[in-house]
Amino acid sequence: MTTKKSLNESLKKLETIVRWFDDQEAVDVEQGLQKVKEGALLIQESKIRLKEIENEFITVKKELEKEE
Amino acid sequence: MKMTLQDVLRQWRDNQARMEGVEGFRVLPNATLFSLAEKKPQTKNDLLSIKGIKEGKCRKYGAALLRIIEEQTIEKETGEEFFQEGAEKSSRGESDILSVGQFLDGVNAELSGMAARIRGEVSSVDERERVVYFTLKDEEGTLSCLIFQYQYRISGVMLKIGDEVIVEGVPEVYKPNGRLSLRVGVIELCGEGALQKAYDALKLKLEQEGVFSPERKRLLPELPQRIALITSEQGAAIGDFTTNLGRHGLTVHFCPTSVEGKRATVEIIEAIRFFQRQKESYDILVLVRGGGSLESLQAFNNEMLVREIASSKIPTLLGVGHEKDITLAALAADTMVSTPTAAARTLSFSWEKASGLLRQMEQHIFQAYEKAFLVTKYRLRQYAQNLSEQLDVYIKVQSGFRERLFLCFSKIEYALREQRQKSIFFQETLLRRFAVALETIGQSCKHTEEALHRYDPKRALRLGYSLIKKEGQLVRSVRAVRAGDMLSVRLADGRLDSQVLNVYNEEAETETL
Repeated sequence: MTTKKSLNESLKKLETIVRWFDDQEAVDVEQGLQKVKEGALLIQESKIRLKEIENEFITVKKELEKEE
Repeated sequence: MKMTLQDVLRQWRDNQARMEGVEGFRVLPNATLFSLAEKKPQTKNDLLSIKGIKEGKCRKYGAALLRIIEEQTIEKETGEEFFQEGAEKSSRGESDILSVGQFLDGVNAELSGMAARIRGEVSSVDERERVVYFTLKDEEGTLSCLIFQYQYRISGVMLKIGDEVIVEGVPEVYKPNGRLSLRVGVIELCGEGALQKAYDALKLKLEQEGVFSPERKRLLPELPQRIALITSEQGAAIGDFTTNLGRHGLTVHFCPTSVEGKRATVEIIEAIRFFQRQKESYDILVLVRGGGSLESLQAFNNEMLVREIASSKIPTLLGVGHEKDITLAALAADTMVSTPTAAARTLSFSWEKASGLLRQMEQHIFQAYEKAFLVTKYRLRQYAQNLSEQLDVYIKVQSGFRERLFLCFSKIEYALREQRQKSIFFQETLLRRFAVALETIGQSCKHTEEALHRYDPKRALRLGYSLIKKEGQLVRSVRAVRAGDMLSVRLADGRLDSQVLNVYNEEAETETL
């Protein structure tokens, strides 16, 4: 759950950074560098999460069966 | 491989439950099956000593259970012996005669093992508060049936006279009137025409209620991580789904259910409710099944199931194949696709999209920064060039200014030098003139001193002249004195008082002389 949230948040933060660059008439290089650093970190984290990993498949026992 | 006694008992229990249209544990719980397999009861009393089996269940299932145990064990008393007990006793004497009730209990116990699937035409329907009574008939006979309301609702069939149906149930004699009825657990409409009619009617009803309305649909969550999956353990659907889900580190909680037949409705509803109770734990509820005819997909056109899906707190994705009409369950879902494969790809797509989006954003951010960097670099270069040009101009201006300043300083220096020379000249002139003036003044003073010396009255006195005063007044003429006057005579070395004896006028003396 934490991973998912962080991936969603990472993508949202990245979108914010993209918008920031798009909205700037003239990008301040210092601020831009900070954004790039932040973005690079988020991209790295997101890539790790998006790497192909096996799904976890669990057959659940219904509560009714548990009651038996 | 030979099944164990417990497995055989479980199989019998599941089959019985299916026939009765109830959950397995309502027939016999697993713990009771375990005790039966362990203790292997051989008589009615043995059965009653098992936890979970009381008089009612013993009457209902005792014979069947003892028969199974007998078949599965060696050198055991048979269940038939137990039920033949009465007959044997009757041969022993009048005291062993059964009451009607006892006899009917025995009959019902035997009948409980005769669960059947029966096809017939509905010839009467009497819907009561808790039970629906109806009659099935065909050319050969008539069968009274009853079904409890909760099972009737789950069946999704609205019985009408003339409908052709298939029912599953267990025969039973109702002791108060001795009437044989089929206690039905499952009703299915029979024939495509009837199913289509029921489908169309329910679809119209639910449409009018807004169950399928687009406004009710929720967007599927982005990047679903925790998936609640409902489908059959057997069949191609589960394989298609897992194969096409991709490898995204998802957690799939799979609740296996039947997906065909009337039992499917109950199981799917139970599974949905099970996941709803833990709704915070799931991002999406997926229900999939392969394609099929309208008849085989009846469970997905069941009103209760459709409403269960429509009211799901977890966003729903249905991938149920179909031949002609989309299942009503699919219409009620937030998102529907036509196959289990498509359902898996829908989930996977979100993750693949995220990968693509991430690549795009990565490219965008770095390109944007590179562009900004180049722009800034270009600007800086321009600023530097401008600054350099400005510096050149400044240096030129400064150079001119310096030259002018030097010129000015030279002029000032020259002027100062000239002034200094003038000053020196003036100083020398002044000193010279002053010396001359002093000399002149000195000469003048000397002359004056000499003049003063010459004109000093004392010098005249010393030469023999005297000053005469009369009564303090200088006497300048003889006319100012008279004989007898007292005069004061000043001489160079003193003063003397005298008295005029005679006065002689110079003119007169001259005359006299």
